[in-house]
Amino acid sequence: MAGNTLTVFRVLIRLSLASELQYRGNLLQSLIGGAAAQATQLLLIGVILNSFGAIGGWSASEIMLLVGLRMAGHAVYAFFFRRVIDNDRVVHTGEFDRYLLRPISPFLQLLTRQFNLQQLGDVVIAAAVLGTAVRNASIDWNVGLALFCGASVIGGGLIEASLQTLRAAAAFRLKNTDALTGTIDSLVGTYSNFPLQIFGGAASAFFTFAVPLAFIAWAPAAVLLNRGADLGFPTEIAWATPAYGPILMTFAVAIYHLESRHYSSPGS
Amino acid sequence: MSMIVAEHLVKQFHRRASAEGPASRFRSWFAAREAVRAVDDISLTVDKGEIVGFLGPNGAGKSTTIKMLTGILVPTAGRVEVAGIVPWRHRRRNALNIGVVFGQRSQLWFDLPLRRSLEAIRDLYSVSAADYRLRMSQFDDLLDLGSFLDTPVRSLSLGQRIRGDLAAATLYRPPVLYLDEPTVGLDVVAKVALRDLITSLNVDGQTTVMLTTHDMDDVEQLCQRIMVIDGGRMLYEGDLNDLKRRFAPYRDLIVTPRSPGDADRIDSGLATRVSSPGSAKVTLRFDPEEVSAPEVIQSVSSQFDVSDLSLLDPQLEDVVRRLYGDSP
Repeated sequence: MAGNTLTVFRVLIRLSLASELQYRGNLLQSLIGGAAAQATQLLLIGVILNSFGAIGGWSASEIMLLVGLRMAGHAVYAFFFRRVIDNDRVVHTGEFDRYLLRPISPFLQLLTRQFNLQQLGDVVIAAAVLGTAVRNASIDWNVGLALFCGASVIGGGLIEASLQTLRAAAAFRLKNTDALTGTIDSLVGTYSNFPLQIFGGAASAFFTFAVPLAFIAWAPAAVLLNRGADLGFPTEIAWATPAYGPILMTFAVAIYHLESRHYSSPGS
Repeated sequence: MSMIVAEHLVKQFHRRASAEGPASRFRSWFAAREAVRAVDDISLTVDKGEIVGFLGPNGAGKSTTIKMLTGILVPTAGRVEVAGIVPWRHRRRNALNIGVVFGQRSQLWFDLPLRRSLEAIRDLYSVSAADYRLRMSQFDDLLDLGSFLDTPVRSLSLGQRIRGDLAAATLYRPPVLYLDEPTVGLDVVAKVALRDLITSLNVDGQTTVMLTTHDMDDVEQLCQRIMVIDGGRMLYEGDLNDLKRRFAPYRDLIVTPRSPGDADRIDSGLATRVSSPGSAKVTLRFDPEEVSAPEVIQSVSSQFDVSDLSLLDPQLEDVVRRLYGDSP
């Protein structure tokens, strides 16, 4: 029998880390690049806040919490799931043949094809921003809220990961989905950084029920800040934020495996 | 006992027809998609412990068939079972039963030393430490693996890389081994080492082997039975010698007369002379079903003073070429 899941995971992580450490120069460049990209976004929001004082009625410290949640969620996605963006290449070059020949989940092999050490840049910046934000925001912290906050960060990461996984699944038929990867990146990067009520009812409904970006940062931040009235939907739906990521991710991985049956393998 | 069973296997791909003329790239976007059958109704059976040669010209559908048998591709139609498992449906269980070597594409971790890949395979397939040591020592004996174990895969020569791939594919002793062009580009020494390992796995471990190759020496030395496909269809399935009998029903007797002047006069009456006039050696071709080799030899040597005689069987390459030529 194949080794148990933990052994498999340990082996794959060991291999990807060892491969990554072969190219130390590249690693350093990526670390700096990841941190710089996050810092740029932070800078942009700082400029907007500086000009307007508040966004959609949310003060600077409240926006900071929202941005902190979004960056932390993105860091979870980037650190654990970023390699889903490689699926085009994996399908195109036939690397996926190898995944199908091993007694391990192809999706897990995709995620561990390279260790995301360079995403530590994202993690460090996100931790700093969220850490500062939770101290500055006026929140009556208790254990429940703290757990909700942590679970929402993970859930937010899973929502972003599920969108990119669904995009990756499309690569089995479409072969090239690069444009879609960029679209999802910019959608999440743009709309998750703001309280969605500022875009109007239709847009906030779209980003709540069609492409659920609302649950990456806006909805959990509203719960934490006791600003449920801004959401335009019952606060109970926002309280369930941590559940949406795992549900969507389970669905996305199932679709990924189902679509992989359309893999045509180059050279066939 | 059948190890590999495929019935009426079909694999169809859809490709957009390419347009020609002005704005062809733009128009090909809107062209209708056409169905291409890479494999068209192939049925085959391989018994446990057999080594079967799977032959065919480029684009015949060999790799596509192998990919359906390994679980990489899902068949468009038909049934396939390997060791009682439908490969694409129960992919992980199937993966434990098979080893695969693609000559053109490595299954190893490209950036890491070969040793790291083999250790990973050991852990992923739960090979015990004792078995691992034993098999690594066998690999070292047969494939001289020890000399490049610590070299990153990306720095290995083609021959070393294929030997590494073969070790990785057989480390966990899968009952079924698929080898797709494993000797392509290898030197003679590496080819012999590879063939020795395949033979030893087959004899000692009853490993079933399906071998795709263009190298007829591989086939002659390893395979008990062959299958020939072209255009996605099975052209021939059966014994190697039967194939030679059907498509090359002759043997050649090469005669070197002691006196060069006899060369143009030699004729046995029992065989047809096929060599061109003026050559120092004479080739006499005969049908072994009608006349035996000793009879032809007796007939020639009784009439002429001969310095050397040799018998030549038809080359498999010629046989297969004739078989392809006969296919529709």
